[in-house]
Amino acid sequence: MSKTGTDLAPDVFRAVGESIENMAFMEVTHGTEAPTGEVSWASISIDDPIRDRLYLGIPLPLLRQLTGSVFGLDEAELTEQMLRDTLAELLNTLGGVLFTRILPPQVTYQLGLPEHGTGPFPKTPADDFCWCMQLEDAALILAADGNGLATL
Amino acid sequence: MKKIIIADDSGMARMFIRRCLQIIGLGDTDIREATDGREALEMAKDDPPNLLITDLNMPNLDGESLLKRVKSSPKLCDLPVLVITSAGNPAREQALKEMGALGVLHKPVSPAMLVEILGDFIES
Repeated sequence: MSKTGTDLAPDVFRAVGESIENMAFMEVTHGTEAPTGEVSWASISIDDPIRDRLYLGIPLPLLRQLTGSVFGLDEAELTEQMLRDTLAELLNTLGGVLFTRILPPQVTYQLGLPEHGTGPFPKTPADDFCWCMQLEDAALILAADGNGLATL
Repeated sequence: MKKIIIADDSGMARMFIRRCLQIIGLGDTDIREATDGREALEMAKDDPPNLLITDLNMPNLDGESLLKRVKSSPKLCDLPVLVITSAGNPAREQALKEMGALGVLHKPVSPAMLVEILGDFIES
């Protein structure tokens, strides 16, 4: 029986929550809405044992807040590179935490390098493999193409 | 003064590890940063550090290849190498340790995790 986005939701939520809490000391809660306004996003390929792609979208004000917390700096001191680094590293980290959770311990996995996205976030909450969460009264969104995850 | 090289293509990750090292009492250490494995290897060859902390997933020589090169180098083979990765599991961790890694930590790291594995390094 193939996995659905709903099946993976608990592990996704824990992976995102654990990563953000440990990196930025901020608490993630469940949400249903996609972020609005300007959304910074990045994606990372999953190369083994399945082929898929994860996408993480964070509204720019929230990303600035997260980055300030991670770097221990005022938001006015943040550079574009810091914001990009935070988004990429967060996606890289939560991807690893997620796959450690959903795969058997003896199975190795391989993630690609994070890539920054341009234009609107490519997924919507209507997509099966799409998970919305809340952080500090703002929404963030994690999604996957799903073709690989569905086979787990 | 002790020297540490942190190899990770993410500036945020390098900063995060640096802060964790400061918290556990290694703030006075000479900490240098490399953005990929090749740069880290060149830095280590030019001025061997006391510890190398490396990510696995990097461009231009990944962490596993860096570990192999270090352990096969007569000049660097005794260099402790700590791997910090987002993509690990017990089988891969064991393989990395058999290649000579001091240890393998999963991101996101914490000061407590570093203290546990670097206790002897800190005290020396």
